Amino acid sequence: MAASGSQPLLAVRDLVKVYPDGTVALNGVSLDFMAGEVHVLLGENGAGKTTLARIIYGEIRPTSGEVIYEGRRVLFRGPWEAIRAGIRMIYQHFSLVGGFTVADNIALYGSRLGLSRREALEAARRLAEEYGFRIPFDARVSDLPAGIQQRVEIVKALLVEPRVLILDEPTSLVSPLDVEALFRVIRGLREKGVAILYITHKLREVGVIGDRVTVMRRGRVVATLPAKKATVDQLARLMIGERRLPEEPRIAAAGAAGERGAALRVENLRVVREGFEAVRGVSLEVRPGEILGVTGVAGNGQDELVEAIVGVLPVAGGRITLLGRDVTREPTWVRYRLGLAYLPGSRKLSLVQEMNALENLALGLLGAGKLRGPFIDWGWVAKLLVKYVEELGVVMHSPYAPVKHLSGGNQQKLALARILAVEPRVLVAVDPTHGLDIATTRIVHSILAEMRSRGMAILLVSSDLDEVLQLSDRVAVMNSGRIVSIKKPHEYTLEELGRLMGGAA
Amino acid sequence: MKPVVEKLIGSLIGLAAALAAMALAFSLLGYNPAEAFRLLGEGIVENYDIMLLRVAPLILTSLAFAVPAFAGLFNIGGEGQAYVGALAALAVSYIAPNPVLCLLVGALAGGLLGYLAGVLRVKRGVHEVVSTIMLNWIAFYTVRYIVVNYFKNPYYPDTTNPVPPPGRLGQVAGVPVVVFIAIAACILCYLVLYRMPLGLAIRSTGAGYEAARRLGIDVEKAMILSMLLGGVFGGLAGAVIVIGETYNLDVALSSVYGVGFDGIGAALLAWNNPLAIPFSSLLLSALVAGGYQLQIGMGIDIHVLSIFTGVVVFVLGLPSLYELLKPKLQALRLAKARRRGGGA
Repeated sequence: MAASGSQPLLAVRDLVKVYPDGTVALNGVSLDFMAGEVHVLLGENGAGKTTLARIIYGEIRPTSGEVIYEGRRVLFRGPWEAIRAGIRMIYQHFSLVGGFTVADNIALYGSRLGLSRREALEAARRLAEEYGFRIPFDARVSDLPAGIQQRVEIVKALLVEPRVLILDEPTSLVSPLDVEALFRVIRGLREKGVAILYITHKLREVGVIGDRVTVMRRGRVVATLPAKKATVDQLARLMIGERRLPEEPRIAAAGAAGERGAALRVENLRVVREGFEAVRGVSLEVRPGEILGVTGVAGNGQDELVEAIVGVLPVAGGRITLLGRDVTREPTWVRYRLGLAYLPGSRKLSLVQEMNALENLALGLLGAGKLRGPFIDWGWVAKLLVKYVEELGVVMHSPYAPVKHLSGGNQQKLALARILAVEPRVLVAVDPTHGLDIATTRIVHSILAEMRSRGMAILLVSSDLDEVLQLSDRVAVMNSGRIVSIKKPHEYTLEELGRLMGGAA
Repeated sequence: MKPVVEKLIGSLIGLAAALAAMALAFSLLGYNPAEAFRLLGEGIVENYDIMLLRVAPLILTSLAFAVPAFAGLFNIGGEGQAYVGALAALAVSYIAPNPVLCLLVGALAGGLLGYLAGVLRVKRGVHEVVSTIMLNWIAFYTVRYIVVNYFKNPYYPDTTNPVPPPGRLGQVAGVPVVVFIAIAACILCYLVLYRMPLGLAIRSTGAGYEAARRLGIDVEKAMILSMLLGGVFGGLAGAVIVIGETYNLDVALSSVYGVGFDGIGAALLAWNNPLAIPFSSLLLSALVAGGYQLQIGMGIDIHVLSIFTGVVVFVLGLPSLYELLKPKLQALRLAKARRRGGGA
């Protein structure tokens, strides 16, 4: 609640945001942001932090509820209106024109604030001096490391002094030294009376930079506390929520299977994406008949790890062995022929949306090298489809309609059908139940468990902690591109998981 | 089915717009549009043999555009593929005047050019529109150079030596044999695209590249093979002109010139459907045939007729533009609905 006596500079009231696909990102959020205060928003991914920030910034509109700024209700039609009103946001992934020089980027942004090129550059140089930033103004942005790019972003945001500054996960891509510099800037702005929204999932940062902290979970505010008094354990518990950890070790299917050696082995894997080292030396093994769960806050390298394992992203270092064969440099389709299957987290990638159910099933067979030519036996494919439609309870009007018209749950069942039909030996599944209802989630979980009991090696990468804990034989936690822990699910405590995910172990 | 109806309506709108544009062009040039269309119709009846001769290469260059389009690629190179196909067929006919062999080698030559553009796209990231346009000019001038310097007919210096009679294809029941070949190519295309694994791979690559590669489809191979196949049909188009229509080439390559670009129009008019392509190609070649009558009867420059193809391409490009805009329009409507809901 508002600090005594003073009016909040910015406030949100009863914000609800439902995305077109039905995801409820915000479920009635009310918060106050005071001038001269660093307000930390803490939460796992999917908690709604970024959605909240983007609504304040005018980038997206709330489904209902209001934003109150300087005592008036506002509805920005776009970020430029928010910027003109004195609100700035620095995104986790920077918004700079890569092919332009630093000076060009600053002039471009300045022009939108009504500054001439000379004025903008003068202001930028002054700010750089004030904060002790060494910025090469004539260098091309795409040639600069992330830390320098962030400084450019900061300078850009401060060309004309803002009243509100939003920082979305500002420390996720930069080095500890850059973080120190960033914190100095934030403290300086706080002295000047700027209201700062600091979005993070890193527990340690809360006490260091925050004045107040609001913990969010699944679109709701769980608690707002004074940041200096909150302990890491307390925040970890609030962030993760009350959940039951599995109490006993599950029936050890993996125990016997373990002796057959790993079906998938990743050694010291490094992946660089857009100049940023997203995976920094990950090693893991998945054995036949085992589910290895990988969890962590989104953006800690899980996506890059997965896409490198399946062969979509190139590998910068390390080795990937699939069923005893080194596939580090092989394209995805070669890995499929060896017995890999991939269930991407986005339904747009797990099925060809514009094609129908029959064709998608045939594609699954083709990918696994199980569709024989010269002519496709569509009757056989149709029989297979009917079998899985009945088994999995897919609701579908016609097998000839593009799958994009099906609901998320039915799409996911079809995506699983194409995997079941080819009996792969290794499955990489990402967020397999994201956005699904409870009944469908149960079906998906039982399919995964069934696959495991048939001896499949499954790498389950999910940001749904419950799912990972419930299904996995072992759980790995990822943070900042590294695996920080691998243990059996019952060996973890809640606080420990929260700390590991928040990078504070 | 519904999408088919939608596409048919789209094609009819394209046709209507193209006819309207032509009418406008006629009246702007000072001719009576009704009289022009009457003459055009007369010309089609009168010159139906020309129409039938033009339709075969047009069908084939349509396929040259359509097959790569299923893989999401824009093969603008049907034109160049036809030049090299024509030259290769002609050259083979001098050595071994066997029509089947001539057509095969012509198809192969076009295929190689398409393959080259496909490999450049997949392995080097050169956009196929850029590479095929440039290859068109390379093919045009190379083929002309060879025609002028090596294949010139000493008696008629503006043409090449003719295809020896055993190498020629004639007519069956008043219909050029090459028309049957072109229609067979359409059926083959349909079978490849909808009944064979390669076609499934090609279509999935165009419909959802990012998804297809994550489903274990060799999307690079699909792209390259689609360009190869498109090139084969482009090359065949040039070959059928030489082996079944003109029996020679002139130094300006005027019998081949433009057939690749008209094929793009015919393919778009048929929504790249190989079974609809014979009909759209017939329509465009009817225009060409009727055009001669326009020139004779009213003195209208035959090039006015290219307006037709141009407008067809433009109008049928619009629905895909609409597809692109659709999500944005929908979001706009939703936002409006929300605002109204919020206000109430």
